Amino acid sequence: MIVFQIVGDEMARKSTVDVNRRGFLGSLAAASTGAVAAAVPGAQAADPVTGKPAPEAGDKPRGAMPPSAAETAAEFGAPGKAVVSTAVSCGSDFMVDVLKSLDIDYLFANTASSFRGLQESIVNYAGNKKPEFITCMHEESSVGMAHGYFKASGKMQAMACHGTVGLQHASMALYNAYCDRVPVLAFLGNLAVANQRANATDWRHSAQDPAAMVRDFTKWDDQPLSLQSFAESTVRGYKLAMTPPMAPVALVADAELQEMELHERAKLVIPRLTAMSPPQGETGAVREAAKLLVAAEHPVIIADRLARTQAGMDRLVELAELLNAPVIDQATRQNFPNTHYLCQSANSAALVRGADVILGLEVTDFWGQINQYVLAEHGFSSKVKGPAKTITLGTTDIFMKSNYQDFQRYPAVDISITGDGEATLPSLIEEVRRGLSNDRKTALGARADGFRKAHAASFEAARAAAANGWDTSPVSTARLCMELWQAIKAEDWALVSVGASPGFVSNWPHRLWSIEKQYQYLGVSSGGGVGYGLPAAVGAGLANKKLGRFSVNIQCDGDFMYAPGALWSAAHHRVPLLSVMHNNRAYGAEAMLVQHMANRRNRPIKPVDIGTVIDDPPINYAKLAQGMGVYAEGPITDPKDLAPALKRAVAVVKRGEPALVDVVTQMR
Amino acid sequence: MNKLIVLALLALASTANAADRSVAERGRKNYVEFGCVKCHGIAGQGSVSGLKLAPDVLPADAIITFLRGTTGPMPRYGAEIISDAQIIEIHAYLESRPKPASPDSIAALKDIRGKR
Repeated sequence: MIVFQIVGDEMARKSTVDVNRRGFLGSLAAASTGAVAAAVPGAQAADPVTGKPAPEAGDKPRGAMPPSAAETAAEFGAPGKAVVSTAVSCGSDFMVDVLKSLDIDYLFANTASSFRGLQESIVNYAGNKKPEFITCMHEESSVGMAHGYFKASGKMQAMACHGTVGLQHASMALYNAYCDRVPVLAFLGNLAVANQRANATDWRHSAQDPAAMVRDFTKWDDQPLSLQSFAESTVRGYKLAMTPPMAPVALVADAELQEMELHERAKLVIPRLTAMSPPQGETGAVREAAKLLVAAEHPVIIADRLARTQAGMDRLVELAELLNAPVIDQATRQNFPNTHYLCQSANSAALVRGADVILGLEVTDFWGQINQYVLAEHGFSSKVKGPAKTITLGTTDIFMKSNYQDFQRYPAVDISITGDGEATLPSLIEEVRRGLSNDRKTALGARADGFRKAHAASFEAARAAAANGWDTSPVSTARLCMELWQAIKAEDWALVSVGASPGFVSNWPHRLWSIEKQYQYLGVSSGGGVGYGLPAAVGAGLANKKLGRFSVNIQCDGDFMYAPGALWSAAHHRVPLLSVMHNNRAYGAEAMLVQHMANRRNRPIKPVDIGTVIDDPPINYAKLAQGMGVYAEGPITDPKDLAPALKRAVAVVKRGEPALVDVVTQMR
Repeated sequence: MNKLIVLALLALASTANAADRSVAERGRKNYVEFGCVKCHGIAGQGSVSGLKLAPDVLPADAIITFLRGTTGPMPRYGAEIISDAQIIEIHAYLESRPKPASPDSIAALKDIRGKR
């Protein structure tokens, strides 16, 4: 409980309600010159910037000289009257109560003045539990960690940032989360009341409408101007974000509200969170889809962001087995066990070409699944050979924004079922079951043998392909992935990140590992914003720490350099995470694309590596990691050194710490 | 006399092998410099971005014809970019690659079938 007692003549109006931010900032300035220490009996003056206790008499000065009065005034405004806390509740304590009511475990944030009230309440009022403050070194990392945490645990988390400069940093990661249908509760610090802004920095860090810059790729936002409305908007935002189609929401946490005294806490009500129920597909449409699937001779199921939970994977297995229909898993989630004979992702082109019914489950780009761009013709052609009936089941049609073009090209399908895929699968399965006669069951069962053979052939072909170039240096991506698989397969492992696409390592985990649980592969950024991999892996690692799972991250070098500070967060918070660098010393996709342009234009190839390679000087990721307190080995160039290094790193992670192995690899 | 003939033949063979190695070395250099390595891998093993080139290398003539005329995802390499002689050297490099080991002889690729 905090009460601000105003010391000084000008502000001695005995208003305990309206202790404003300007007064508080004035007190900080006074504190920096020692005034507050004198005003508060027994109090130890704190460093106004770091919040750490000032050195006691006799302590040796550490490092830099304290700021001069002029420097202090420039940062905090002119010294004002000291404001002393003597204990009641404050607005941000109530905000913490709201977060507790939603069972938020963590608030990911890079500290910032515009939410210092909230931060102080988390630390002192909440005892840094529920939520715990996770120290992030970039706002993009804060969102990325919340993104990864959700995909590992299914629990939405919060992040906080300045509503201006912090949100500008965070915006790309919010776009990734939006494209990936992942909820994040983003709190934006702001100071709406202009005459409470103490100095130039306050003005620069305030906005009329902070959420405007991310409105195109958040599900909802609000700027509550009272604590009661803060509670209602936060609970509403939580519910909206967590209802499929999921997406981030942004809520302004006004600094004035955070820092105001709160005397009548009992008058404030935190609304009860009603359990979310995902929208389900309409019964008639589901029945029609089932009829088409049962009658089809060559049905194909394409699954994109379908499985939110293990139940989603289990239901898809049930549907596929009922129909003996092949499944093409888009690898944005682990929708289907890759060891199942109906997992036919490796044969997707042939299957789509010969399909007579195609069912898309939560597929963002269904048009792109049945059409392809033909470079030579600068146009498109159908991937499907004959006439095929098309069915989509998903939530794409429920929620769409205009500006950013994530919604993809319009697919004119035969049946469009609007509803959450995972929630609708049970009724689709029931309709399929109802439509299957015994004769039809027998006929569909006859397909199984062919798919078993095709599945086995794909696996053996992949195994042989992995052996090709096994001993080469730089290390092949096949060897990178398969030595890693050997090192972790005895654990309850989860591949929490693999760069922008598993294609960056030629899909080796999906081709040769046994991925049989929904949580064992968490997909990709989906927005293609670089800098997702490491923060998302750290967030997922934090979640998996509680769940007792071993987290592994195949970390691309270009992506690493966007947000290397996330590794420090992993070390600081003791996140057990094995990161294995796919260090091809390049922005691989762009290296290929720029070369393609040179080829098409009949121009020299060699100079086009300018801007796409990261080899002069080569970056030593092991040293970078070590510098942040992380166990690390490498760079490994001899493939024979890889397995022993991984073994040592696994042991470190099993002790509860992060570890990194830097491996110099081939491009793909 | 017979010994002299054998020695002479061995010397010729050695010279020929050295010449082959030299061509293959130049081919390797071309393979990297012309960007083949990016998509096809240093051993020609292929990747998601490019087909396997070795072992079972296509004839050099077929490679030249393909590179000059392709309109698919693989970019065209005109004579302005790479000469026939340079492609033949790349072909020699790919031919010089050793046959990959059987996956059953590699510990990390053995016994990984799981439930398959």
